[in-house]
Amino acid sequence: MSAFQSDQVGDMLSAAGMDPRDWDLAELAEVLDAQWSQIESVRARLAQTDEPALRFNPRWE
Amino acid sequence: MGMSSRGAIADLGRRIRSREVSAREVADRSLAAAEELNPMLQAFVIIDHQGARQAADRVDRQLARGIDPGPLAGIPVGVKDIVDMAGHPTRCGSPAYSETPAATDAPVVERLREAGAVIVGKTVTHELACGVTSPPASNPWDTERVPGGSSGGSGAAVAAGITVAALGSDTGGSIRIPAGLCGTAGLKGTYGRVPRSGVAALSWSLDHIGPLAATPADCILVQAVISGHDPSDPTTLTDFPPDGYPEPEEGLEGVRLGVIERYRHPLIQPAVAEAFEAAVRVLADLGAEVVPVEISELDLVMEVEFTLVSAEGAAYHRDLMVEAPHLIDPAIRGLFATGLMMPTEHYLTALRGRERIRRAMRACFAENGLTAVLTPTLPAVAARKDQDSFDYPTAGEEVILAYVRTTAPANLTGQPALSVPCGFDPSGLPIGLQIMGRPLAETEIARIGQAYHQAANWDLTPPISA
Repeated sequence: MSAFQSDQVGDMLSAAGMDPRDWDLAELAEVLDAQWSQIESVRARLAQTDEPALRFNPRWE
Repeated sequence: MGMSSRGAIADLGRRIRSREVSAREVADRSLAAAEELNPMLQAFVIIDHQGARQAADRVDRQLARGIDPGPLAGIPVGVKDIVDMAGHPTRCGSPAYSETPAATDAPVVERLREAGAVIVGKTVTHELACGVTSPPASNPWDTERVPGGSSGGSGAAVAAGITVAALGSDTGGSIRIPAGLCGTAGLKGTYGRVPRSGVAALSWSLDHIGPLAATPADCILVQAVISGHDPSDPTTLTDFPPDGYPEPEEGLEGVRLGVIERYRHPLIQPAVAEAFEAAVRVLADLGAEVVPVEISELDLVMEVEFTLVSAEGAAYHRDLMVEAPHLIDPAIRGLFATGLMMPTEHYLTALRGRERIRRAMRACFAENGLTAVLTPTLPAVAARKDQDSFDYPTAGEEVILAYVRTTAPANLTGQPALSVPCGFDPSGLPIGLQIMGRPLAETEIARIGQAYHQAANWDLTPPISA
């Protein structure tokens, strides 16, 4: 059972500029569930001091 | 092909330069091989007879006049079909893309041409460079199996000896995956080393362009040609050491290699584990010191990788998602849809996780005094085309997750990573060894890979080959 209701997913799609009629809302709700739980597991491992690198720099110096 | 194009670039280049064989002869053989094998392999979307012959004739004319045609004089190469080549459409493996020919060459193509390379054609990509199977391309070791992806056509073309090298792109392993599954070398350099302008993006902060070729030394030769700052891509680095050719006679004394423990077991096919451990022993026999290492932050790789790809891929393909989502494969469409609906905080959390991983990798190198780290390129060999998952002795894993788990860390850290063939499973499918180095240390990992390649001396000629 998804944490997202179909009408909620439809509203999110509309807000992002997409037409909900183009989509299987129940299927998309499952994908959203997976992604939101994934990011939760990342968040749980971070400390307040972990800052994002907004411009990625591969160098180690 | 009679005369094989499987030899190292330096060898074939020497024969062309000495006019033992003409660039035109080499191009004709490569084109003939492409025509003959493409019905089986589906490696190319375009075979460019006219362009290849013109380029080869130019090389021959230059040589006849005593002019140096460049470091890739007469070398047949393929270019992944997400890279602009003037006069040909860039289809990106997608029905949504225009058939309108690109007006100009991408900088990497321009550099290949200036170096004397002969571009034989454009190679098949997984749709939008977002996947690991590259249909309809087949693996030359077993045409019922995938060549990997997303640069699957490039892997198949090089493994089958149609071209000596090919360009791929790599956002979560898309050069190293086909290299590992097809039995070629493949190099994803340091982020920012090779310009990406004129190349369709998947994920700007993770995308890399690089070569697949028969050997690590060949990869370095191609990368040396295509790398370097380009003002059209502001992410390209300036002021870095050139790619040096790895000297084959050098041993590995003084080299310290870390083996990342989590990739040794348990999510790995037994034959892959055996081949990997045997390769580590060969490197130790060559003089390298090998130590086990672990990086707990690698737990975050898949979540961070897929969050960044979904957000950045969605932003790049937004117009397509809004106007014609039905033209995109459902799985890719779903990934991008979540990216368009993603809260900003999720994207920033993924960036924070990425920085955590990058710092942990750097610390691992520093604390252990490492030259490079080793992993199996992939935990499994080439999947059947209808296969969705692998069954390891103690668990199962989806194909897409299995093929990205070991390769994506180097996309997140931006460090260079090389795949080199390291054996076969009992059914004769290739297995790859991954060597990940410090930023801008491509030559170092190529030296390690080349030393291994020469010591192991695998026969890498597949059943379907030129």
